[in-house]
Amino acid sequence: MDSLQIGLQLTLFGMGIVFFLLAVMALLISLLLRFDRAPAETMEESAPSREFPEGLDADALAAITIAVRAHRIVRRKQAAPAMRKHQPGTLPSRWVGIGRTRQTASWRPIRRG
Amino acid sequence: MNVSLQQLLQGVTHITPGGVFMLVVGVVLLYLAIAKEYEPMLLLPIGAGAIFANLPLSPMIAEGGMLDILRKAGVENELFPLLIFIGIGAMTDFGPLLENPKMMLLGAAGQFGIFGTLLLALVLGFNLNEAASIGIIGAIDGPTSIYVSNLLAPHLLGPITVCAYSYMSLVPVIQPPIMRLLTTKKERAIRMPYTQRTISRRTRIIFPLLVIIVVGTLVPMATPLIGSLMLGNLMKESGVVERLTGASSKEIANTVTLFLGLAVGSTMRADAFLKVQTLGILVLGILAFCLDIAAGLTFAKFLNFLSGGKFNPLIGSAGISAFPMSARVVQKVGQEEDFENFLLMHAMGANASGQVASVIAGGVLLALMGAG
Repeated sequence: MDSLQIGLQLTLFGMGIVFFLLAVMALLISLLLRFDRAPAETMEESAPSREFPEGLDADALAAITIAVRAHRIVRRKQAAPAMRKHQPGTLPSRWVGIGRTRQTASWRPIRRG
Repeated sequence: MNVSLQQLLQGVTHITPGGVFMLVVGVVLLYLAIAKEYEPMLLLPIGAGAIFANLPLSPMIAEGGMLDILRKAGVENELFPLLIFIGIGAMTDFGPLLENPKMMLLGAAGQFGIFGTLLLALVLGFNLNEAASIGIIGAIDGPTSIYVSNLLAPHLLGPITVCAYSYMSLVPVIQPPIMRLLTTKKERAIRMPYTQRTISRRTRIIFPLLVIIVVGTLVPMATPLIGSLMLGNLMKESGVVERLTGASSKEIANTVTLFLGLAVGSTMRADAFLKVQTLGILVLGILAFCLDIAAGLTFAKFLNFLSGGKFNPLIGSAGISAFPMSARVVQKVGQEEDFENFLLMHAMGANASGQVASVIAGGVLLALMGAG
């Protein structure tokens, strides 16, 4: 009977302390979020500019955009062989990965002479 | 010649019925791990450890044997569970919890199974230390169960660990019937709007530090558990120690899981395991799970009442440590009533909270029991 009484006390204190601690944590996190808001993206920043650079029309700009994208894809493929297990930025880090690939990849042009 | 034959057959002559039964238990654990894929990462090494430990005259559990060394090196001094916690921290994204800190309270409610089971175990005649160790199965967290039970009742480590891990894999089976029983169709169909909130890197880094300092100060006994969990998370969120994060969550976690499983399995010797109280632990373990889920649901129903019917009580059942399995079950059961109801992110918040809460509850229990 005594141990049951101790058990009841443990339950009351235990659940009370767990609730109290987690409520304190919730409060502190809420305060943290209030003071450390992530900067919201403004429309001005995210909206594409409608003004074209001098000497370029919409078609030329579209062609440049496509070329840049294609070039990025080629660079990405060079840095990321199909056999790679990890996403870029994880293990090994992308720069280390590129370095290793450059050392071993067969696509690298062989310099003669 | 007779002496040599006797020596040669000493394995056969030392076969005991208890040992044979435990070999069968080991094979059942292997079957669950391999055929049913119930927590195979741990049940397979535990099953293998149980077989190694119960082979007649097994040198593996003798003084200086491999399993003896593993047990002394990592289980008796609680090193292995803490190393696993670093890996879990490195794998866990607390973002959904940071987006909605109120979910912390659901994690607290989901720990009632620990204390409810403690009471039930006392009623069944277990002593206080044993009852607390059995209650910790309600944390639904393997490493916490191992850590606490090893400090309070090391002789029950085997059955408690087997319970914690095998029942954890049964969460998708245990959780839905309780959810359906304690909620109405209308409650299950409550929709909760979700707006994604960007959590800054600074907040993600401060969060683990804050938890370590606050919990470590208020409940020092929880420091090893919460400190390890949050260290792993700090490494992950800092983004500057990718190699350490990767090693903690992969190589170290995998290696330690193997060692821990073998060492725990080696504690399942027939003389220690084959007792009536083991049966009691198996029953109480499942009750602990049910109480956790029921308490979480009841508390969420209370929140639903306070919010004027805007809080889906199903989310309360995810306030346990089985991450992210429990949150997925909430989403599945919620969608049974309303296919376009998306509760997953809310449930993930409660589930992440359950993970923190179970560790805190383990520390609180140790502090209240005066362990350490």
